[in-house]
Amino acid sequence: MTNILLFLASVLALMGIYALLTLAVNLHYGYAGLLSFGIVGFAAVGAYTYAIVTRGAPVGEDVYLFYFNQPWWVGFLAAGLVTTLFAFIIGLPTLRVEGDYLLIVTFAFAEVIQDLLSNEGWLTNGTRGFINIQMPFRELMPGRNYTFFLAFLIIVIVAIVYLFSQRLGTSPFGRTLRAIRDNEPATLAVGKSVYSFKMRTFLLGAAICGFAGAMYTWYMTLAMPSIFGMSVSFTAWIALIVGGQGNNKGAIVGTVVLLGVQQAIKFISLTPNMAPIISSIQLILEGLVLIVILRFWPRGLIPENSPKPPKPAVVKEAV
Amino acid sequence: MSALLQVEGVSKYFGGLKAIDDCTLTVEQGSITALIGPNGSGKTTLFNVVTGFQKTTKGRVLFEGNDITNLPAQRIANLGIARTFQVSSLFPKLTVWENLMVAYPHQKGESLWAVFSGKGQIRDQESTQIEKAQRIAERIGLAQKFEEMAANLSAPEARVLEIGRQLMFSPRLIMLDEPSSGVNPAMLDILANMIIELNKEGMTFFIIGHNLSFIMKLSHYMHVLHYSKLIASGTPQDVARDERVIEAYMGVRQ
Repeated sequence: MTNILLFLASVLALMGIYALLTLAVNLHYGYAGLLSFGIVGFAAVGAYTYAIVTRGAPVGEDVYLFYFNQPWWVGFLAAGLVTTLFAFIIGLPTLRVEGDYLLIVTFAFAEVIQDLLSNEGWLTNGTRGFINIQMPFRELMPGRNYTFFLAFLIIVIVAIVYLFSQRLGTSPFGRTLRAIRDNEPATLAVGKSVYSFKMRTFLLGAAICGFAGAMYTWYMTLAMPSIFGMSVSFTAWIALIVGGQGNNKGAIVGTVVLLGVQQAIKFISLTPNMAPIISSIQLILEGLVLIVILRFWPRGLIPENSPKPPKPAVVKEAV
Repeated sequence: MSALLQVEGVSKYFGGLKAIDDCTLTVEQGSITALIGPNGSGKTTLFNVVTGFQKTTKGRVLFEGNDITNLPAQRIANLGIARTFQVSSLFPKLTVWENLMVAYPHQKGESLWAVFSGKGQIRDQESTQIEKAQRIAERIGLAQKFEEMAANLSAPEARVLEIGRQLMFSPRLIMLDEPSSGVNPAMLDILANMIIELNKEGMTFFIIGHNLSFIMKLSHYMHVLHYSKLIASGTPQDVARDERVIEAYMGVRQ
């Protein structure tokens, strides 16, 4: 029984982390129309920033030079900050051009980051990565039960980010983002500084990914180049398309459905020799889920919906 | 009358191609000024150059006496020049009211700081803005479709909503690029009346038109472009009698 609960808790934690990435994709693409595939790159930057900041001195065959021995929350904040800085540098030249260029640059960024992580051992400890990641409140919660706490902590963070995205999405800021996505020249023609809106959105989304990356190291208990492959970006994107773009509920629902399917399949693998078969079927089933959703719910499970108009101010009668 | 918009010797070259060649014209304060000319004569390019969507190769653009040549598009818009586009350019996935509200200038709720700190002040501003949006929606006859998605509007409705959206930021000059395209004859009258009514209230219009009868009826003053050169300017009557204009539209008399 405890095993099943543990499994569920870890599924929940993973869903939470992906939900953050999907919320970030939604912010970038669903709201602002930015084709940003660098989600996993930002997550990797966040994860490694967290690992390096919270790290102690190297032991054994470790080759990294920098470590800061800070508590987890310092690392967590640093993860968000450093990722935002990276996003700023990428956004500076690319957000001025339209559409596909951003896709190419962010895609390349994620690939380059993964290569850097493997090759720059002095900073990232190479392919060995960082194991024994410092986790929040680990000392208070010994043993296996920590998974429950971690799942809880992640859900709380997801809830906060969700509320934050929701507030942003329904604000005039969010409205202008959707306008930019729908028609950029027309938004310029009504006097909006499109670049500034795109940049702020890009940075916010990247920061969310940075935090998610740090949390991913808690979940995995390590940071390694191999866990930051492009498939992470794709999973978040598919989750958004399944759930519905341009609304945060869709991002959450899509993540739960997609990862639910993924994990449910894992759950069936009862005997060890079934595992390889199942893992091949998994990709097919994921594709199937996407096709079925696009066939019957082309706008996603939860389509975009405009908020209700605000109430006009009470007109004061002339005396 | 004084000049609201002055275009002084503006040229726009695309490589070797002269899209506009040394064009000088003015739009008087309070007028309805038309810009006509055969296809490809450079009308839309001139609009783009004036509104900052394309860079000028040579010449100056003055608005209310201030040099606005080659300023970024959003700054020119904020100075009070509204423009529409040849193709319908609404925000299709936004409702009618959102399409209007987006255009309101300098909204507090567009700053991230305000979004997360001041829900109250955003609400106040939104409720002032929505009143204006409702007034405009009534004026353009879309009050019934206030919460309709823009993608579901008919072509003429989309046209008037575009004009309504420009009204939302209280411009000094409205530049309409082919407002009559895609609009049926019955709706065309409504559109014309709306423009005339707004003009009586003091709004200046600069309109590109293909539909000559529509544009002749409306405008006080006309400029004619032909092969990227300004060939005639004057009242509609003068322009209609001008030899070069007749030639440009009808071809050379044999």
